[in-house]
Amino acid sequence: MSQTLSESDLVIRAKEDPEAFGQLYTRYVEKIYNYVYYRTGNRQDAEDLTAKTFYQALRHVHRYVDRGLPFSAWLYRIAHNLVANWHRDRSRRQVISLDTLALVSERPHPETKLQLEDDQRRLLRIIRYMPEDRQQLLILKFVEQMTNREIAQIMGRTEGAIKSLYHRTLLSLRGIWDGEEEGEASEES
Amino acid sequence: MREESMEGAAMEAARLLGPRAEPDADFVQSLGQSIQRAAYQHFGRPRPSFDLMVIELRKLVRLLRRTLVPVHPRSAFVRALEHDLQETAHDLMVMRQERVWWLLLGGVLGTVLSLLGVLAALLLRRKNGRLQTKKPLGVR
Repeated sequence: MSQTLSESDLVIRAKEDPEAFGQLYTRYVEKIYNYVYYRTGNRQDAEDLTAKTFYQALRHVHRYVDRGLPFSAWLYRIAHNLVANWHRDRSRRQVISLDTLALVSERPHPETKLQLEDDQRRLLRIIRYMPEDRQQLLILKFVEQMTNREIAQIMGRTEGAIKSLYHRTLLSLRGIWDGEEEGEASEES
Repeated sequence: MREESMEGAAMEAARLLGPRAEPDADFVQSLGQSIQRAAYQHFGRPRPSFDLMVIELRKLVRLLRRTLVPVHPRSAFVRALEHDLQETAHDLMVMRQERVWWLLLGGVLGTVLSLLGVLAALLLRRKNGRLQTKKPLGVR
């Protein structure tokens, strides 16, 4: 019965019913985990912060006010704040571990695969040093495959602002990538 | 006659030098890259054309799609967290209900006590009033 409930009805029920909260958890746990994983770079911290996100949501869900935004926007906000605190408290910058990441390679040639993995590691390293809002945008766009509109709702910006931020992020990524290539080339020579 | 002899001498020289030396392809390529790098360092990187920029950005987006792929949390973690959350949710509900009961009880007690206080004050006032009316006139 509760499967057919709309999200807003489910949230209202979740204020008093643990089972309804459980359904919200099932719906969003992977999304939040993915977001935290790409922001922290390791599974242990991703699990820890995902758990903290849902505990915090559980403690405050009775005060949640529906403002027409998806419930996930609220969860992402909690996760975002927790990740920001995590970075601030520990002041650590870890390189994404790609051991557990599913590296997608369509080409079987080992050299090409190695090159692709190398590029992926490098790209993740660059992303991890970008400003928080740009990291968030890339994760929501590519990992969660959200539309600009959905991203705008979650990040509390307009759709146009998101498009503009996306464009600037890509140019900045490209610029850093090229800059690193030139730096490496001059080091070699 | 003189021209013919010069041509002959040139042919002879060419014969002595042997076949024309061809540079190694790898050498040419690496030399080209070195010269390009030196030129970039000296003059700065040229601004790419719009088309080239679009191609580069498309490549970047393709790489982003292949890199930022969804990952799955351990199922044991998901199950354990769900279980813990259910228990915590239940405890919170009980705690909130208890808090409501305590608040209600406190409210009722507070009301009763304040009513009793008002009643006591009224009674005291009445008693004092009676005493004052019973005082003899000579006392004034």
